[in-house]
Amino acid sequence: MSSMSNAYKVPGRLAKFASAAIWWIASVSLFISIWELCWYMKWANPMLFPPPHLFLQDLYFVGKLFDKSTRLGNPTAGLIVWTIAKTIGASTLRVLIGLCLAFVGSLLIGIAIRFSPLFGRLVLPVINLLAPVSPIAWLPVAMLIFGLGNAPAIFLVYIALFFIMTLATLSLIDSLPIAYAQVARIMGGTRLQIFVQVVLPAILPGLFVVLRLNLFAAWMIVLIAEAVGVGGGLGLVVMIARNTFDSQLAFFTMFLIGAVGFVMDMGLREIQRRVLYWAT
Amino acid sequence: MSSQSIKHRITDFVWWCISIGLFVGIWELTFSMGLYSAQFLPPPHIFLGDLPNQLQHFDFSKANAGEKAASSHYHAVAKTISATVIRVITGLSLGFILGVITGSVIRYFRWFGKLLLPTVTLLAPISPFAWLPVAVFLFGIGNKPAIFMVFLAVYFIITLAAIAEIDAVQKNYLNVAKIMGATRLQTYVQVILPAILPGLFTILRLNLFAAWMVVLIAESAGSDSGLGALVMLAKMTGAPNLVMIGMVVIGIVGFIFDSMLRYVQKRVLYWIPEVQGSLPK
Repeated sequence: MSSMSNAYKVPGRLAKFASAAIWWIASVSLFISIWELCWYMKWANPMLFPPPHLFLQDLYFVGKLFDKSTRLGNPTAGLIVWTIAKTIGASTLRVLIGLCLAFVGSLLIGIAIRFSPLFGRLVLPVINLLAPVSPIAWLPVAMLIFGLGNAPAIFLVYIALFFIMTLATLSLIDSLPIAYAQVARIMGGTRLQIFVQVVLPAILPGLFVVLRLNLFAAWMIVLIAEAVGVGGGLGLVVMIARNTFDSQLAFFTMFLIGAVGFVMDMGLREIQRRVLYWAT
Repeated sequence: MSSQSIKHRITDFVWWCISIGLFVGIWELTFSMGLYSAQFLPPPHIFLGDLPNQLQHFDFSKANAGEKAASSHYHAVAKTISATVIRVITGLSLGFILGVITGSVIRYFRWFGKLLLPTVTLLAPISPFAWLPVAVFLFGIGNKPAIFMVFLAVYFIITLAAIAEIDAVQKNYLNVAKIMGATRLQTYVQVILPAILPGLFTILRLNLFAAWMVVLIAESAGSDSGLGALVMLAKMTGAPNLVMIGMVVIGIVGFIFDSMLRYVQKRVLYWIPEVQGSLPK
């Protein structure tokens, strides 16, 4: 009914998209103009809250801070945009590798726990014991074991996801309709066949949703690990901004982190839609 | 029946002991074979044996001039834990309540909602950690930046989830309310709110993990008390025993927290249906 109020003679989808776009622009420009107004009226201190046009215009100056080579006294390596892209790439890659490892690992362990009761009884209590330990607490351990670089960051992403997702796998398996297993058994499926051909495809979509929900935490733990100093990445830049009280850098980095987070969520959503098409 | 359940519990407990024993045993065995040093990854008997010594580090009054010294080590431990827990609870409550209110307002006032929602969606994917410098610029050092960051970790997620839940409320509920003559406000308060709360509470519990993580990092970067500051102190000074003890304490507190929320969920939101069903063992 309400869509009829749009009296345009354009296809419904296009009209919907156009109206969403217009509202988006209206909303965001209102937000930015209030911010800019506060700056213009001198209500907000530009040293603490630089408006978007300030923190986005100084790309060259801000970008230099992303370049680790300048800190070592080397000549600046290439374009500023390239330096920023490399920093973003370092963080993103750590998240993605950790995500993949944790997804596969928790799926295997979770299914193994339900497949073999003995294995489950031996392993499940340990997983329950370690699950509530915050990944932050693992941070010193990760750095003791793996030192600096990519390995501790990836390990932390793995830790942040593995226990939660193993427990999620178990609860997904437990909440499967019993009819699935009964039908498979009537049709002569062995236990292994039931797990591989019935249970696995039935829980994958749900597990993927759990992965997407925890992307937020995984993304954060990488930033934190980088801030503490595993080397490079966006987290380090946030820490530099905090320690030097550089608000332009802080807001610029927030902008980047928001954009990357958004793109990653979109990517996972798309994968979910394409690959796990049998989920409704 | 009851003897059956007692028997069941005993078996569970025995398996629990075997499992944990095996885990600790492998840890201790690899250590005693000399695969790594205690400086690297101390096994339980070393860091737990060092517990009385390490408890003094929970007392931050030496580091913070002007703060009264804790009367005993246990008092100091309690103070450190409660500082963190209070920050988490305050931030979670603020984030949850304001998130539900914002989400409802966005759907209740259509124009206002259309104007506000894109900005909320824009800010939501910014990791709470990226707000850290802003939190410190805004609130300085102490409780406020940590609470602010926990708030951020929950607020946007709950707001967006509230909108999604409001959209998913069964049409029948709304129709019945309308037939019975409910006004728009009555529908929101008496039908939609109780319908969305259980789902939102589950989402809050899922995000407890992230909130708990945020408070620790906020404490280590923008505060001088709490468990986060303790772990960072242990890491900086290279004290592996204190690191492991910090992990144990954080694990225990996290576990209690999750059980508490689970309990609240069961008691307060009693109208949630419980999912049942299982595979044959």
